[in-house]
Amino acid sequence: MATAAATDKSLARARTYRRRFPVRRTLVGLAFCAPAIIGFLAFSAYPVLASFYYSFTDYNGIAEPFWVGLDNYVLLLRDDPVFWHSLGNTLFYVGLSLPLGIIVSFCLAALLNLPLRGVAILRALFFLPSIVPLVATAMIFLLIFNPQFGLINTALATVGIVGPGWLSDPNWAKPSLVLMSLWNIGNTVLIFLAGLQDVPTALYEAAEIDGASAARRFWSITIPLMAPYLLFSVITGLIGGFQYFTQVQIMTEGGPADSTRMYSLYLYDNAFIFHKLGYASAMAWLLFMLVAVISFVIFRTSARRVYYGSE
Amino acid sequence: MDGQKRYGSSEISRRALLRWLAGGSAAALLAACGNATPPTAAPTPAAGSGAAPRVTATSGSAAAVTGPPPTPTIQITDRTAASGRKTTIEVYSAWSGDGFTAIGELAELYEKSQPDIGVKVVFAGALPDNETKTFAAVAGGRPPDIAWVDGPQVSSWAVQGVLQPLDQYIQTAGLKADDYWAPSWRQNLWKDKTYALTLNSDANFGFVWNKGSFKEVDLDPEKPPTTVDEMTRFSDQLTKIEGNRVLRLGMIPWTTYGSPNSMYTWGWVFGGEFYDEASGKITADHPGVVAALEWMVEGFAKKYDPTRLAGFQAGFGQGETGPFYQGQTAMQPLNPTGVKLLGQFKPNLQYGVTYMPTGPGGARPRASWVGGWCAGIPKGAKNPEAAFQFLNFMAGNGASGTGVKFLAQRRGLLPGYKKSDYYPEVVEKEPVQNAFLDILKEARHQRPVVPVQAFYSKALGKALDDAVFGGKNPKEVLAEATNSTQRELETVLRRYGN
Repeated sequence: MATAAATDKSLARARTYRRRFPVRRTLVGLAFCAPAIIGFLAFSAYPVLASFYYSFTDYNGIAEPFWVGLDNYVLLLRDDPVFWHSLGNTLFYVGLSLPLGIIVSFCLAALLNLPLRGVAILRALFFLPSIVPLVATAMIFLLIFNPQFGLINTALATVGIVGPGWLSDPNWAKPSLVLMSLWNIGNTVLIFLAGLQDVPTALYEAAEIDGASAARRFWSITIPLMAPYLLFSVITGLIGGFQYFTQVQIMTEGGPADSTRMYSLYLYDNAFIFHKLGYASAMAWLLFMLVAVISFVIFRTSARRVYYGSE
Repeated sequence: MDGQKRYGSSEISRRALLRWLAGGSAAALLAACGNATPPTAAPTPAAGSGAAPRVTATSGSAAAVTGPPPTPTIQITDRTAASGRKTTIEVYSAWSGDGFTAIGELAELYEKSQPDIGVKVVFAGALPDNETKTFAAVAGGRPPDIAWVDGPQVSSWAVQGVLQPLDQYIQTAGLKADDYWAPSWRQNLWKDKTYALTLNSDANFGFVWNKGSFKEVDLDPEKPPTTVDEMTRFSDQLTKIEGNRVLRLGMIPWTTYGSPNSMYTWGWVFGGEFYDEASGKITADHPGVVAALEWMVEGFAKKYDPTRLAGFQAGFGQGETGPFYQGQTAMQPLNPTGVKLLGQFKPNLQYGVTYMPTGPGGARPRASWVGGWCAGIPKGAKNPEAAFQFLNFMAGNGASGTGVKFLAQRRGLLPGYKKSDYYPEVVEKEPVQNAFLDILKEARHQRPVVPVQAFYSKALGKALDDAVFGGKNPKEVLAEATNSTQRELETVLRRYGN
């Protein structure tokens, strides 16, 4: 009773304050948010808007930007074969690594969901590779993929298979990178694991009683309830995949024979090696539009099938 | 609500949580701030073993190869200038490791020689990061007083307004074009103004062959190939393939310091030209250049399967882990530093250094080119006069050439300043360095002086890769490189060149 009265009193006080000092409330709130807002404006919003402006100019970073209108975009789409080549490489990489990554992560999460002893240690072990710095991973995989002395080819040689050239073979370079991308699935596994543990066991038990097979249970219960997690992973994987840069820059620099020239690598070359910041900004915005369109399409086509909790 | 115990978890009191956080962050701080001692990668120096290198370009007794001491990896910290000076200049150096230390020592020497100018040396990143950092400094309104610029970068920096012309200072100091190696001087010019002084002129390349491998296949170890045809025949003789594994290759022409440099080197050997200054046209499709690429494709790529060769190549690294050093190739063009590494890491490897072989069809013999680093004064530098004093000390006749001599001796380089006493006093007395001096004297080429040098080099590298690894027609890929670079050149000149 005493606590109820006290709560009522403080609520009443809050209501009065809200009614009598609306502007001050807003200002105080803004003041507390100010560091975050300023940081966002200065380091996120401004660079984005500036790059949009630069994409319509010819800019080398030193001289004044020179307005060229849509020239950069036209040149990219019409006259630049390297643009299309790099886009094709990136689409190939995303098209292969994204489905593979999600399927493997899902299977791994399902396995790690089993109530084994020491499963916590296993979960930690599978998560560990994703926190190794990207550069270190790249250097290690350079050694692993080495056609003459690397781990993979030596292991294959023990069973009599002559391994391919991996990163030195134009036909194998991209698949090698896709293989390497499976190293970093720790985050996705974690998310899927959380999702799997959220599926109510009651549903499984009911289905089992009704005579549903394991496969049926999987497709009719697990997948639909995991749909939000899958959607999230697809979208974030898409965004990350299109921006793939660090590993290629370190391991292959676009070679051999331009087989690993990714979109962001070409963008980097244009911006910092050829000093064509306007051109590179146009590339960045084209990428943004592409990823936005794809994400939009994915959202639209999956809206019906994604169940969020208790809808 | 407060009385409910949370289901399943053990409650942690706020105090305990704070204690854990404090302890954890203290531990993390200690771990992060403790200076990790950098690993000393000091290689054991050549123990002066009996295999003295014989150099063919000069007659003379063999002598041990001298050079800079083996470098342990050190942490690069900027050098602060001496205090109490009237002017302090800031120098952006792109040399790292021992090179950076050498510049620090040079700065100290300079400060001792005069009381007015203090020198601060900052590491600006190796290629190509030095460009990014210098551009950012200039764009941000805080340019250094001196900046390292790679030879082929000078014209593009000049066109984009990053460097200022040095002609008035050069005149006052009494320096002339003649005082420098001609290709190096040409590289520093743009529209008849000079924008940099050359620190070192690298003779690219000396043709180095492994005498032991020659003896193994019954080739006369004292008779290196003099023509490209001879070299190709020798290479086939020296190649050892067992089943599917490559044990040794005579040579791999496209591993001459990367694809672009390989294209340049062999293009010039075959009598090609890359740029016609008179007409302002890019000529990557010059018949000589096409012939060089066709030779690489027919003579090596198609014969030995480029994927297998690429796999073979991937087993080696840069520098002293390269195939020639490991005895997996028998002939290789090397620059002076490359030969020095031989002496350091493979003292038992018997080798010789000579001119590059002559290309077919009446190409000019001894076709080498000149590379090397330069330094210029960025636009907007606060103390250009003082900066030039130090620049002249590093690369010209400042202090009667003592600075140039010090740097050359310290780093084992050939100075860009042709008139330096270092040449008669040191270089001519040492067989390997003297061989490179002879090569330098015959070198007529430098990378094309165009403001789209980086783009051109990448285009050439791509052409080589497409022809060798992608199986494309050499003429077509070089035509594509020509067209794309020509377009770039015209755009840049239209926008910035005047």
